[in-house]
Amino acid sequence: MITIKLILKLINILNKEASPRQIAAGIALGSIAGITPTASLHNLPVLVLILLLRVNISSAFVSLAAFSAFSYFLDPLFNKIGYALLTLPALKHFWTELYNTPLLAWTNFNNTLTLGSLVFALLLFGPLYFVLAWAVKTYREKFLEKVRTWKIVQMLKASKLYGLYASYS
Amino acid sequence: MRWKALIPTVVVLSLIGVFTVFFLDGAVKCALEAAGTRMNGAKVELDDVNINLRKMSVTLRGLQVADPDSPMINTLDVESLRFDLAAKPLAWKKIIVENAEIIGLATGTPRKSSGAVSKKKKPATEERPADKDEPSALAEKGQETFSFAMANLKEQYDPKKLVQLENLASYQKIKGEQDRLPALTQGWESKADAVNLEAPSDRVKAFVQRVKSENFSGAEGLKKAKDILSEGKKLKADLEQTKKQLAELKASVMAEVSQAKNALKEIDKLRQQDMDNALGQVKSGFSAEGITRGLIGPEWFGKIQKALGWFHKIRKIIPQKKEEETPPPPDRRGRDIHFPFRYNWPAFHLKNAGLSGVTAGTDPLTYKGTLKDVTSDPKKVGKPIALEISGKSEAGPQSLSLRGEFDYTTDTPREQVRLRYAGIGLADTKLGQVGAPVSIREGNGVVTADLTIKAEKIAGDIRFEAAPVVLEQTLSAEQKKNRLLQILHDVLTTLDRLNVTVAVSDTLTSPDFKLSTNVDDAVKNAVKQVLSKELEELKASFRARVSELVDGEKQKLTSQLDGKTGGITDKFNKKDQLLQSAQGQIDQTLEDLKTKGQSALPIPGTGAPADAGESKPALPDLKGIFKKR
Repeated sequence: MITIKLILKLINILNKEASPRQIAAGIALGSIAGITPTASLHNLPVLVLILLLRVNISSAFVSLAAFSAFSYFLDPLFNKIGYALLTLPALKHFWTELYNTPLLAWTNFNNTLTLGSLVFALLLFGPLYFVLAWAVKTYREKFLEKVRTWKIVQMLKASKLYGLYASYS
Repeated sequence: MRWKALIPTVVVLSLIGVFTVFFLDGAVKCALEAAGTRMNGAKVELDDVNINLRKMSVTLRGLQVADPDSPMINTLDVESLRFDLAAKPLAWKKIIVENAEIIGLATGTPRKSSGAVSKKKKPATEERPADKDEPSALAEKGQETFSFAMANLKEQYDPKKLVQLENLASYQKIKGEQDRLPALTQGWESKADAVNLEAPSDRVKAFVQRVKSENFSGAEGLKKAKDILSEGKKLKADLEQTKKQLAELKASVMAEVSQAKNALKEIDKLRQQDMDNALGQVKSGFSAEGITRGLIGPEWFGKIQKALGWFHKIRKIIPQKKEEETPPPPDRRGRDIHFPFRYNWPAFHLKNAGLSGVTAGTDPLTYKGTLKDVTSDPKKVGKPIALEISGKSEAGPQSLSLRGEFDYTTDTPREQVRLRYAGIGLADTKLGQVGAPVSIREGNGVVTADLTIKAEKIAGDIRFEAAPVVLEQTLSAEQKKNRLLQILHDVLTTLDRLNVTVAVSDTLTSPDFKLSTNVDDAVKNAVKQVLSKELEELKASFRARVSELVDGEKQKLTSQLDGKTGGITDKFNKKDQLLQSAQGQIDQTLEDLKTKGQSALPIPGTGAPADAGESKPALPDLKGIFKKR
């Protein structure tokens, strides 16, 4: 049920609600919280940014859920990235300074998985934002009308669930 | 910027703050209970947690740690624990407890509900045998040894059951030799037959015949005599050679015969060993220690083993070695990489804790003490964990003194514990089974322990003294008829002093206990009176059984061997005689030839008569041909 709701919500967002840039920013910010361990301290400013900036909040949460599932399979890669960075001789001084800075220990930055996934998410953020903004725009301009004629979309729209969702959204 | 969202954001963040202040206690309580239960393997429960952020203190009340082996009992029951935390280290996620107060510490308290939790099955390698299995195994062993000692001797040690042919080394040796004998004797026969004496004998006969029939006259006779003589000498040399061969073969066969006869001596030795082994079964099974173990083992070995299990638990909690620098494992948690830190703080350090509590049992004793330097990184702290507890009862004679040092500051962990607990009320203390259950009716006891563990090696002893003491044992009418039980009953019920020393050695995982008690001597003497005659009879029957099984077969083997060796010796002797006779014949013939030749041939210088019709001188090369070489 939650999955169907998420799909419906995503379709709705893509079709009419927010601007392509708001959707892309929401997804990109949500990806940071999704890719990295969710209960980490660095996700608090991410949450604040989602709430304060004019980004699409729904797409941010859909993105968080989707990237959480996706990142599970990439944990070994994140571990390797984190380990490589934390053991890089050139960065040792930098990490030592951070390690000795009060409160930063609570971010778990010295954990291979946390750092690896955070770096991966930050590197992904820019490309993800621009690619998604272009993709949503292109979709609306070129494919939206065609998609609306698809039987499956019509079936979904005709369903009671969609009606119920539409009445509350 | 979504300015309208500013207020909701502030509200959300405020709510998080409020939650932290109001619900942190509950969250910490849940987290502690969950983590504790996971580590302990049975429920860890708290009545209440109070975190005072202003004073930086944490107070836990009503801590109950259930015993995984007895879920209705608490291994640890603490009224309250207060920890005063250092504020600054918290900014680096380090928990440094400057002072702590642990009040109302008790062990072995009953629980209202079961503390069992559904366990995930651990891999076999993680199971410590010392944790669970060994106490009961040792207790059972003690009981089993006692049962063995007590059982009816004649039934328990039936020679027909214990002495079986397949277990007797001497019998196996006899069978082996019997199997080997046919092949061996066949070899001997072949060796004897390999020396062919028929051909040389025939040659000797022919030679003798020829010499007898020949006439020697003139130069031609001389030549013929010379030929016959050289033929005779060659024949003699051949006979010598054959004789030498026969002697060598005989010597080699006789050596093998001697070896075969040595096996008989070896069988005698093995027979003695078999006898000793059989008698050893009686000796090892029936000892006073079996009875002492039965009496004290089940109760005390279990307790000692359980106490040693605590060392495993402590070692499990406190990491011994730093993780080695290996590549990160591809797991779901990642790995923490540590960097040089300006403060010498471990992740957790309890600097000093005051303890107070009561002991378990019918006469509880109030005690006080200190616990120092419990830490997650002993090497960093550089101090061993120190525990000191002492207490004295105001009303009764009880006193307790415990000093423990748990040193994990080096790669070799070392623990040392010294305990003295005096004035323990022993009334109604159950001991083991010696035919019937034995208990202490009245008395006081003192336990002293001095144990040192270094890495896996454990050494030390635990002493228990009870004086005066009165033991109690009730025998049924049936049991009273058993002489041994009755004697034991008399010994135990008249004892007024009980001294037990358990020497602990070997390894922590698999410790060895050597038990010595004053009960041993008393029991030994009593048992000796009752059973010495039966024991001697039993030994005699063991000897008879071994003899019955082995002696007949040995006799058979000896006869077989004697028969075979006699035959082969005869064969060699006959061949020897035959050769000697042939040699005699040759010698005689050559002697005859000499006499005959000297009288018949004209050989100057030999004194032989010359042929009148011959004018030619004798050939110089025939000179001395009859001389013996």
